[in-house]
Amino acid sequence: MQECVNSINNFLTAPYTAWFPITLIAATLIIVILAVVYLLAPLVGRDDIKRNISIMIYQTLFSIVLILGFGMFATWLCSFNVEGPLQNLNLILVNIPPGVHIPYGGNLYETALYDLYWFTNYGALANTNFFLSLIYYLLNIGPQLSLEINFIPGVQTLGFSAKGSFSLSNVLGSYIGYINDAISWLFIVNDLQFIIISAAPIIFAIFVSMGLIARIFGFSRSFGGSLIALGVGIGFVYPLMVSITYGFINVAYSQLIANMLPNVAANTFGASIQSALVSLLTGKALPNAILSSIYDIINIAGFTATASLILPLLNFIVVNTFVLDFSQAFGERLDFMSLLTSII
Amino acid sequence: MIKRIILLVILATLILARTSYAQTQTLPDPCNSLYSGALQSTFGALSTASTYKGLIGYSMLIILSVLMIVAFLYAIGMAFKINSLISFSRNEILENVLNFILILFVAGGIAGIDGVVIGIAQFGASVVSTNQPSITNTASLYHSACEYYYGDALGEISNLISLAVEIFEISIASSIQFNLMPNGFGVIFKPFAWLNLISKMAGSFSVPIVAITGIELVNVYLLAIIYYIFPLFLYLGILFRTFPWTRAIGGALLGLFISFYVFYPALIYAISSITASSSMQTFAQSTIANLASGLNANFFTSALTSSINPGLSVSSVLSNSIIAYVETIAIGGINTIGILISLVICFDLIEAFGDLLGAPSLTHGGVLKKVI
Repeated sequence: MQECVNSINNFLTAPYTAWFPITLIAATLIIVILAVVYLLAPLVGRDDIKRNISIMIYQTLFSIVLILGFGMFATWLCSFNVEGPLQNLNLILVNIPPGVHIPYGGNLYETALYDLYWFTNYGALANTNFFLSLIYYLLNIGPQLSLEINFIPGVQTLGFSAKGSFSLSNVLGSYIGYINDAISWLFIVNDLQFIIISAAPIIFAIFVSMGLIARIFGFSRSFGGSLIALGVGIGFVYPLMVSITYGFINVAYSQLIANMLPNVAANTFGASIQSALVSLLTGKALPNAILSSIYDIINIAGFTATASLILPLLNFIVVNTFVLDFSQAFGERLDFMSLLTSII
Repeated sequence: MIKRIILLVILATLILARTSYAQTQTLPDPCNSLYSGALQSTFGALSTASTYKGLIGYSMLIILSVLMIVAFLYAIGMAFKINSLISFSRNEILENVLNFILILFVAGGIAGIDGVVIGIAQFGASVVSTNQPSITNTASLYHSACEYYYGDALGEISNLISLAVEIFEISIASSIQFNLMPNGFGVIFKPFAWLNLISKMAGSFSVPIVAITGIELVNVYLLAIIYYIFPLFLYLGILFRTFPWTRAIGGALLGLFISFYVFYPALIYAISSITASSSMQTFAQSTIANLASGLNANFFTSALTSSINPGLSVSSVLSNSIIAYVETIAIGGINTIGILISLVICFDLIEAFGDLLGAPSLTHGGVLKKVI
């Protein structure tokens, strides 16, 4: 976790901030070149070129304004303490075990990474994976029940015999297998999100910078608008959605897991000493403990499945909506989800 | 003597406990913690309040700020005779008036959702006798839908456990065999080997039950995500709709909010009111039983009884098992289909709101198609 945060921090302090000044220099150079062409155009008797160049100079000036605007936005994005407001909205889990570092005053990327990291390594996905593996091992090492009845004791080859073997893995193994398969896929979806979040700052910096330069020229204006929308969508909207949605999921999950043990205890022993005594003496404690544990684990698995399936979908839909509408405002309409489905 | 006294004390305690304590199993219930206020609200008062008074205040503040900027631009346009700026400012003033009306509509609509849902519930109750709890506000609407689907998911898990036990019993019965091998060579007769067929069939029924359980559990937590996170889309939608560059995005976010925060739980509640009613469940069971008896008489009795093992009534056991499993799956399936129908309607509603609010990303975008 700390290594990831450090690498993002190192990256943010060097190449990320360098992109906008470079873009600004490029835009200034373009203006100089355009000005030279503007001055030379009347000398060769090409007033049409002069007219076109003047429009391009206005476009470049507008692009410089946009570069300054996006540069300030980028600086704010990297320095703004997103973690504070999200904590006020109860969207950051603060009760954490020792050894995990919460990004106090963390920016958007650090907060999103923290939330996703917590969900995968300490939260719902990690615990579900742990509980299911535990159950799987327990089911496979026992208990094994084998029943054999022979008509003539000790002689199996003559008479009547009935034999049935029972192991919990035979009965419940297939269900656990379904959930295990699903969890494996959910890990893949989650890793995909890690990759996107890790790449978000560079996508924002490069795509927006390239888009702002591309917008200067008439033939690449729509392409530039699409790049800007894609950069802002993946570089800003996506981490924002991840930090909000996974922050909520982590907070909700912490409450769910905190209620788990009391639930199992209440089901096993009841709410009083008398009920505990009755449960133990009548032998109901064990089946009740097993049943309530199964219900609780399936409940947690359902929660994890929802968080791992619905949240990426929701986040992608919002990013797609943003990119689609924002790209149309800046240039060409770009369908992000169609782009993804075409590739996949 | 001491041992006897200890035993007597234990016995007395046991009798006392048995008479005073009726053991009831309390299953884990996440719905209570999600909607009873134990989990702190995410986006201010919006996600817990049922009247949404705060919405109008925040929205008015945003619109007023934008109107001031637009008025300033209009003044500059008038002062310097810039026609394009004047025209732009006028358009923006009209757009903000439209936003104001939209906010009133949305706020009024959400505030009135309680009435709408109660109306739906009363309508449902007039058609079928339902045992759903009454709805008093938005939180209770979400809570009720959550409880219903969570309860049904737990019921499906019980079905899975009983199915597993049944498979175990069948596997023991099917292993009964008669051996006649005096010198290590002879015959083995397994009269109940045919029960393996039922065991395999019962095993195959577990797949749809697992799927139904999964869909219902996902729906439980999907409702929670909608309840706690989607109000953000309302705030952002109103904010984005006030600026010309982000107007389409604002419309899209509002469309998402209205479709899923307002309509989805109402639809889920309405459908579950009907499917949870005793009359509907009785009707479904009797329909399946009638169809099954026809099958039993025509197909199984004539074909299987005579061909496999007439002496053991294979056909009746097999068909009865199929009827029992189909009934179990059908009841869960009705609820699952209710979820799918609600989702399809909501995705269609998103497109309708996309048209209404000028969001090109949602207009005829086939959002459902993309999701699938």
